[in-house]
Amino acid sequence: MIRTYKSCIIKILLLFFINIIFINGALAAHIESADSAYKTGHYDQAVTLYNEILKNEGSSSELYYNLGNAYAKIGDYGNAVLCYLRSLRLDPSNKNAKENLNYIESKVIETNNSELKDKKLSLDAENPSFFYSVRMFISENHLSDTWAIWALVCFLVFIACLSCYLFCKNVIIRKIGFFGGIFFIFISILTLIFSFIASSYKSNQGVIISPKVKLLSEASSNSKENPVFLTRGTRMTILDIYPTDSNEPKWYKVRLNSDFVGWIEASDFIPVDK
Amino acid sequence: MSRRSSVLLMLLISVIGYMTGASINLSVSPQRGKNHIEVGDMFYLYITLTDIDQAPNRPNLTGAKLAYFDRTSQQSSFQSVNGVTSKSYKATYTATLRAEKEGTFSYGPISIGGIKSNQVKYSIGPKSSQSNVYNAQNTNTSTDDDSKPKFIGKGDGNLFLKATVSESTAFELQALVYTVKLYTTYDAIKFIGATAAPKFDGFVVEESKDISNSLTFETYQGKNYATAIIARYIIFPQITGNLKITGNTYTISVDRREYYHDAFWGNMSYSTPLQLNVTPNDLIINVKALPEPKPVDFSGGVGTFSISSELNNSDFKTNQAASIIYKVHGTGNIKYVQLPDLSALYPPELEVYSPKTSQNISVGSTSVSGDVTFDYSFMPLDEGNFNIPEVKFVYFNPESARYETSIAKGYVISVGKGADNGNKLLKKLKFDSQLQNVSIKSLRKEYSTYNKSFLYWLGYIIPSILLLLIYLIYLRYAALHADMISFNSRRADKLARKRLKKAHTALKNGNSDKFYDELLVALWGYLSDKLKMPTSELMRENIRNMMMSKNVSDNLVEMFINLIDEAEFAKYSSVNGSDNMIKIYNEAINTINTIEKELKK
Repeated sequence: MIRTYKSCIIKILLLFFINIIFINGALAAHIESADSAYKTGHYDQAVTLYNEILKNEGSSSELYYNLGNAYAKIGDYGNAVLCYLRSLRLDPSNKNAKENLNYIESKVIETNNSELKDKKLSLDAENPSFFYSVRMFISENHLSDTWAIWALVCFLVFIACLSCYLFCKNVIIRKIGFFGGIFFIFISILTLIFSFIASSYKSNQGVIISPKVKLLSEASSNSKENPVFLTRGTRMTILDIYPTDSNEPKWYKVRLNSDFVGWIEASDFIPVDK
Repeated sequence: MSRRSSVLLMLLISVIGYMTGASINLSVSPQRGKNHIEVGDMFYLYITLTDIDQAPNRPNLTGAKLAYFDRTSQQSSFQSVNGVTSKSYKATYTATLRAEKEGTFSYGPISIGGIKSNQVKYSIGPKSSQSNVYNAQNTNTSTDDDSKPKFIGKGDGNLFLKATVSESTAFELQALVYTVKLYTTYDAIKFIGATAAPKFDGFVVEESKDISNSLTFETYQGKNYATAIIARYIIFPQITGNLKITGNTYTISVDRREYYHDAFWGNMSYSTPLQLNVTPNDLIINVKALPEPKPVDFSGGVGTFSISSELNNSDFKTNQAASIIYKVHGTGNIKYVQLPDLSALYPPELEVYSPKTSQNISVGSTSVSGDVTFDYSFMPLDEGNFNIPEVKFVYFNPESARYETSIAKGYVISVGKGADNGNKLLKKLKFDSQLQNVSIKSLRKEYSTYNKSFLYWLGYIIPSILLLLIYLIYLRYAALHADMISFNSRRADKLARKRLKKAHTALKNGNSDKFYDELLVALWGYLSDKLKMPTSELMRENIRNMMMSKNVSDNLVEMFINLIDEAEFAKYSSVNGSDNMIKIYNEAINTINTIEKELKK
């Protein structure tokens, strides 16, 4: 009786592992075929394959980076910028994604400037406010988990300091324990708050993905438009969303600077965070 | 004999003459200088009568209007051979007609005095578009053949245009020169104007401004002409096959000199102005495709070229632009040559920008030559030694019918650290095309953060609880410990007596070793309990200090220490009398009792 029970468990475990190996093997082959499509220069095929993995298996910073590279190679700078931004949202320390994002955005700026010609409009994005840059530092430059780990480490150091204070008889060690404890519990609480801020943060950035887009003064297709086209890959700040009846966004009010504020259709624009 | 035969021959001829005589012949001819009749043209109908005395009626031709009809020539002959007189008579009537309708018509036969004529056919064509005001002076000697110049002028061509091309068979993209040359015998050319550009189908055309206005003299088909080149085009065939160049029409005003004989002045001349519309001959060029396979890095150049490179800077720094100049010199379609993509050729640490191109091209009579300068600027992004590779310029040489290569030399540059002046435009920018490894484990559909996981919070809870527990245990232990010490202190003499009893039994048994051991344990234990100090920390000096602080008199402490000393001395010495043991035992009991008494005070 016991033996059959044991063998049953073993069978279930075995099945479970085989399943994992099989699924992982298929997925690895999937990723590999996408990589090789990219390496042999079939970039549009690589785009389709990476997007499939993204849809079926989930995302990672590296996957978004690779997809961004494939988009950049076929000249779709809009989606490339979007992918690099998403890659950086998942891992702000991804140096290559940052470099490629800068490179593609410099190309986008070139295209925008050539469209600008001699019109007296500015295309420089505004410098973020102090409050916003603090928020960016907390939420975009660091992951919520990074803050959480710092909070935990500081808490453990606080525990160590506290035990020094409680159990030691040497006065100097007890003093260090007391003040160190106060310091570290303060840092721990602060970073824990940061971690919550970062985890609830939603980027208000978005990217133009249609080749050429004009900003409209109102959320309707026959309103006055800005005379200058913005090319795909231009990053803009979302100010407002005009939803459809089914609560899907239909128009976004976006802003680059005081010269470029207006409405843009949802089919031309994708926000970084959904 | 010979005389008789000649007479016979004469007779025969005259008989034939009589027999064939009396005939009417009709013929139609277009106006002079043309070989067909067009609407609006004048044309002529000749009626030749032989041996008919009557005059024909005024002819009435369909599609034409009679303008004038008269006898234009008449001849008669009389022959008398051996007394036989024969008379022959021939008259030609000419009808001048104006063609009015298009079509093919016929006239005749007509009959005069019972003699029938032949029938003539004539066709009137549509009015040609190129008819001109001065068509009276225009004579086309050979208009059938398009490839020959159209002679315009009196009779044998006093003015014509001749088109030539430098090669009649050429390769695709090969530079050809199309020249229009004017040949004239007229005195003065007052004006030359083209009504349109020549039609070059399948060519890229560059008009050459290199035309000299001076006349040169040339013999063409045995006649001296003044010649001038009036147009020159550089043409590049873009497609293969037989390509046709259709000449355009030029309007040329000239002075024509007329000579006449004056009875008084002798030979005189005057000039009359004349306007002519002239078209040069058409040309057909056989264009061959470039041989396959074309080299991968073919520059598109057809001709002979050479490339050279020149590096201006000698000092390179990161983020500081430098320039390299490639100069392509040669003959051919030099304007259309391209360099290979340098950004792919150069190491990725050198960023290459699109070049500034300048051209210095001159058009000769048979070729186009000159040089094209590509001024590339590049920016080193990294420090170190970099290799600027050789640049291969592959072109097609139509003379050898082979692809040839010219190489611009490469350089090795060493880049030093440049000023990092924070200029945004000069920031290190390059596209990293390497892929990153996607690990399967890192793929997530849902992202949850640590601060929402219970496991993370366990990291806070467990250490906190552990610390609390340990602290509670510590407090408890401390309290317990404090109790034990005061208890022991109170019971110190009782414990000492208990141990002394053990020493006493050892004394009774005469076991001196055990006796001293127990005695010492009792003495040290007593002190330890009394002073709340572990036995290990007890030393003679701190015993003295501690006892003093507890108001135990000096000599009593001395006694106690002496007792311990004595016991220890006795333990390790051989002197082990039972008297000594009893003495020390009593002393110990007495000392403890007095200490107890003193402490209770």
